[in-house]
Amino acid sequence: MSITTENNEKMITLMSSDGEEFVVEEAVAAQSQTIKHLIEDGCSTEGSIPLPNVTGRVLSEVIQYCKKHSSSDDKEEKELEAWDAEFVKAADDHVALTDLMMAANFLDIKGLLDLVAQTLANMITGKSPEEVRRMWNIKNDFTPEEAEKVRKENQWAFE
Amino acid sequence: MENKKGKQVKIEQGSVDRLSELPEEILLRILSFLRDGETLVRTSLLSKQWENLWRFFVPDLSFDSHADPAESGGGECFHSTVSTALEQLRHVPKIGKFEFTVHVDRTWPPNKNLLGDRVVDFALSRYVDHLVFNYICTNNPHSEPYNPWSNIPRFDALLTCTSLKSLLVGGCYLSDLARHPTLTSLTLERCIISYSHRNFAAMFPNLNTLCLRRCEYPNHCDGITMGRSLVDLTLECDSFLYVEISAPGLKYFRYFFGKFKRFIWFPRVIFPSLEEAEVHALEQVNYEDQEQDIILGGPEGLSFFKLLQGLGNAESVTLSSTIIQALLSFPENLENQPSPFNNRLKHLVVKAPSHEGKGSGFLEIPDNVMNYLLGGRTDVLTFHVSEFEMTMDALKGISACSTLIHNVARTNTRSSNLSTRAATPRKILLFLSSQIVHKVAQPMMNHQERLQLTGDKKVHWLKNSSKEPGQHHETPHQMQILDHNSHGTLQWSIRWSQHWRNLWRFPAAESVSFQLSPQPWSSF
Repeated sequence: MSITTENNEKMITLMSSDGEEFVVEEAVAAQSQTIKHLIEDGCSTEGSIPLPNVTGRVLSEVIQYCKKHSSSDDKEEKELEAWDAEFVKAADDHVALTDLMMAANFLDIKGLLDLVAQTLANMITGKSPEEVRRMWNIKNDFTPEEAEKVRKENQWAFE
Repeated sequence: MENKKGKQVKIEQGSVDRLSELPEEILLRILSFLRDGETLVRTSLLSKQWENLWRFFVPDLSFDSHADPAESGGGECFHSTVSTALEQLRHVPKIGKFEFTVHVDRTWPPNKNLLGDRVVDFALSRYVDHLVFNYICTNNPHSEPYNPWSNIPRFDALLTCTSLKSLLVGGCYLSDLARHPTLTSLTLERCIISYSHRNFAAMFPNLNTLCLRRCEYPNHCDGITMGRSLVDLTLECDSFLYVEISAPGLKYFRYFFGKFKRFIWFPRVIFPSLEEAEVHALEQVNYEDQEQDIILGGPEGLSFFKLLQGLGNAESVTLSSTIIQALLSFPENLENQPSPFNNRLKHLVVKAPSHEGKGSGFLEIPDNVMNYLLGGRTDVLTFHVSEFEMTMDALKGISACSTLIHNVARTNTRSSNLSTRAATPRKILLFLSSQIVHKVAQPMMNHQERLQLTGDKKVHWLKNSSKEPGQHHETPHQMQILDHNSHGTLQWSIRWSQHWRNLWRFPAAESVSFQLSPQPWSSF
């Protein structure tokens, strides 16, 4: 289903995994390489594009990001960086960030992927393994002996 | 219904490992943004899934000025090559192996050592595991012990670097040596060593590999003491009088000496775990120098026969033909002495030193020497191998390789075991200049299986490039890393342009190699 606005901008509809529909300009949606390819393949003409891996809550954030990045040009780089910083800060919960990362990966939006990866990398910098495990609920599946061996191999990093 | 809901809530609240749900490519992307080496390495302890991911971001770096600096104007060129690379690599949080080899001649200006400072600082700040810092004097690459311009920069800092596992220093002046508890491998070549402590046991309690090669000790060194942790010991033409070793775990013992007169006294030679022993006299025995005393055992017990007995547990023994010759000078002792080696001995290798060339020297061991060495046993495999100069000279390199191949091929018909032992072409190749590599590559290829060269990265590249020997100059050395995907799951590469512009971050590069050779680099 394609709609055209007054500005003659082509609109397309995206449907999240929980059935929520989002109508966005094609230029915005095409920030996602995955959607861009779907549009090129003609999938957008037959109704909304289903995105089975992305929930509505996450999709609305992704669209927010894409809107900002499709409307800004190079001159506003500084401002865009500040906006990005605010954007990830708003989602400054690692669960939200990992969901966002999964969506960015599925939708193939390199800028967003890098932005979130950088944020997650910053979050673990300087943290001990125990802290990172707690933060992300990573299950420690080493036996004490195995852990000791890993630790010993690079003792300097754990002191 | 309610039960189900309850369950779902519980899962969302956090019994699920959120981050590990992410596909590996995403975890790698997150790691690629880490700029802190310690944090990067610490991820190995998170869980088994994470254990080895960080290794994708730890490259090996190798800089080698390689060609004759005078010829290529290489001093300047190499300097800017290294500077540019270090700048490009500034975001790399950790490096594995860092090799810095400079071939210098007398015209090398001392201020070039500023580069050495940068290199060491770079390596230290990135938690280097293995560091090679080697000045090689091109005028006399083998015996020049000392370049007055090349004090090693920040040696004290090196020895406080706790990530360091192995260190090779060549052609430098070492005035201080600090205790390093984690160092496991140390090689000092052609160094002037002026510090007073020679108790390696106390300095490096965890050292298992030690190689001292042609170093000088201006403050007079009577002897050194080796630690119990030692597994692999190489001594070549060092000037101390005795070496005290009590290393129950020693497996490899290599000893090269010049004149018999300079033979080191080993007060206690008991190596219960010894596997391989190699003893070379690099010069012929000289009877006018009372060298017989040393061979036979003089009043102080400086005895070559005693050393051989000390190596009695070895499974494989390599002797130079000069040693055979020396033994041959004492026919009576050969008859009287018991065989030094016991039943563990499987291989006896006799090597002709390089200066004798192919076909000369004692390639056939006389019967009485054989009887002495083997005690009449007939089940010991013996081999005769020529040894070669490792040189960057093109012609020598080619002839060395082809002769080596010839010899290995010859010995290989008798036992496949020797092929790995005698196959040191890896070392030879490191010294070959790029212009001649393609000439060598083809014969190497033909014998590749026989030489068992797989697994070495440099050879990997040779294997690839030798398919198109004519295009050699268009494929510079760093091509070796392309298409080399040992982990099997991730694809990576380094894009390379003439002007270094596209050297982008290399998420999974195992090895990055920069080498200076006139042809490919002349545009820098």
